[in-house]
Amino acid sequence: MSKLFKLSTLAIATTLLSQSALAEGIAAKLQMSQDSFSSDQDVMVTLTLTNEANVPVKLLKWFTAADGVEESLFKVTADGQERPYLGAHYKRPAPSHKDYIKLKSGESISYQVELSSLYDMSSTANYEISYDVSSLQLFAPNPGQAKKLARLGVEGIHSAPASFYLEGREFKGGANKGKPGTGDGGGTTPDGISFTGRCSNSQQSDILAGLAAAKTMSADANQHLATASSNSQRYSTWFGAYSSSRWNTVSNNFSKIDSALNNEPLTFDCSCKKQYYAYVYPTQPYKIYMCNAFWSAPTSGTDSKGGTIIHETSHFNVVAGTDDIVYGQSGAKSLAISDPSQAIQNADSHEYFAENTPNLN
Amino acid sequence: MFTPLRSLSLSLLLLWTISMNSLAHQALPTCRLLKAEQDNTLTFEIQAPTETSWYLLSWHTPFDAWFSEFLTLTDLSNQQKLDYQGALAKRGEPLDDDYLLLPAGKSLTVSLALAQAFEIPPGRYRAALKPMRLYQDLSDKQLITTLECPALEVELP
Repeated sequence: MSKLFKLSTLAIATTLLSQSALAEGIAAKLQMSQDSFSSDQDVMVTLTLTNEANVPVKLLKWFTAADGVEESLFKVTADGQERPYLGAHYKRPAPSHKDYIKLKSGESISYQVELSSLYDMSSTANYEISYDVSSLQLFAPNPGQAKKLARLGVEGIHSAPASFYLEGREFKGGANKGKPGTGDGGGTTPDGISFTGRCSNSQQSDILAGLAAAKTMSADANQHLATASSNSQRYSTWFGAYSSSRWNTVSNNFSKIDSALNNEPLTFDCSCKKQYYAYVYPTQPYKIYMCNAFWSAPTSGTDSKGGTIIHETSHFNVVAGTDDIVYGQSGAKSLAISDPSQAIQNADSHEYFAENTPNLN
Repeated sequence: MFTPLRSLSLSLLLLWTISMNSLAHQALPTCRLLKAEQDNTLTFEIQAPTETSWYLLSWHTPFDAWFSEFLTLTDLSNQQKLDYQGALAKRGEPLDDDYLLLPAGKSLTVSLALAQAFEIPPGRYRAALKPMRLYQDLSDKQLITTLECPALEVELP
């Protein structure tokens, strides 16, 4: 009887020991790509998770960066003050086996994560970041094990902190300093430009460069329409044969585009992952959703970042209410010849007129 | 009334359709809009002919909902078009993924929740689609066949 008791005690102790070793056996390490970052640089960190236990461990993917960052995985402070997480939180059903990744004993797995799109990094400061996740379901889809881990007080993985200096794109002062404008990504610049949808530092920088190019283009387009003669090759290439009423419509459109770019509170969203350049809801000024093709476009010239911003701004009903009748330069040129009244309603025609590449007089 | 004139125009239309089809060397898919069971919802169906597969450029079709104004809703009481409230996207060149395969004899359907793109006062409307672009062969995208689907008159609650 007493022998049996001893044996079962030993069995329980062994179980606790292995679970404890299992949970504590995941080491997390952070490695910053640089020690300091400027406001237009993305803040890259490498997260490495290593199974230091002598048994395989299953980890809940949601708390790794396996499918991108889908939870707040890090604790971030700027000069000692905690910075809010701006990314997504998902409501999910209970995890199943397929939601876990297995790390063999000794195995490591690394993820690269861009932090400036996930945490408010608008202020210039010394930042400190640590990987800090906890969940009772972190280690295996097994409620019994979760309870044991809870009893042992093991409920997460924590890394040593990594630190870096960041020169922030200081957003509006006052009570809103450093706070995101609409809750999901980045805040409002002193010029009243807002970012939503997790725009990273380099994306914000690209958008601001594109916007500056768009303003130059719209000012130049206005200037041309105010001073050029009615046989302007630039006008006829994109809008077709001259008529005073069509010319006036185009002038009016560009005057409103220019005014919107310079005076209205523009919002740029970076959450789109589609192959478009960008999209807008014409009835919802002045928010522009930037998509994949935008990031690789040149700042100015044909199908550029600046031109895309002109194109999208022209869609807003309160601006010019344009449509996408045809896409591309050859389509827009053909439309100008075949149907000038449609050309003056086509967004790409406005974009190409503004980009003026190649240069026409 | 079936007047001789109407009969003539119908025959001409038939001849034109046949010649268009023989121009494309292939029978065309058929397409239609249908009222779905849910309120303010239409179903779009496109069916390839039994012998021929086609590719459909999904841009500006119901498979693009709602990133382009591929559908207009006209209020039949006053002939006014409803304001489109969906998105408009700037795009570059279509990728191969943007062409949907319509296998011979098979049909593709998609459900269109109109309230996602229009504010719809109750009434009778004409729902009309933009012409669509069909391709026989993705290696020759210059050869485009245009497909027009009949408009649907529908009571929307």
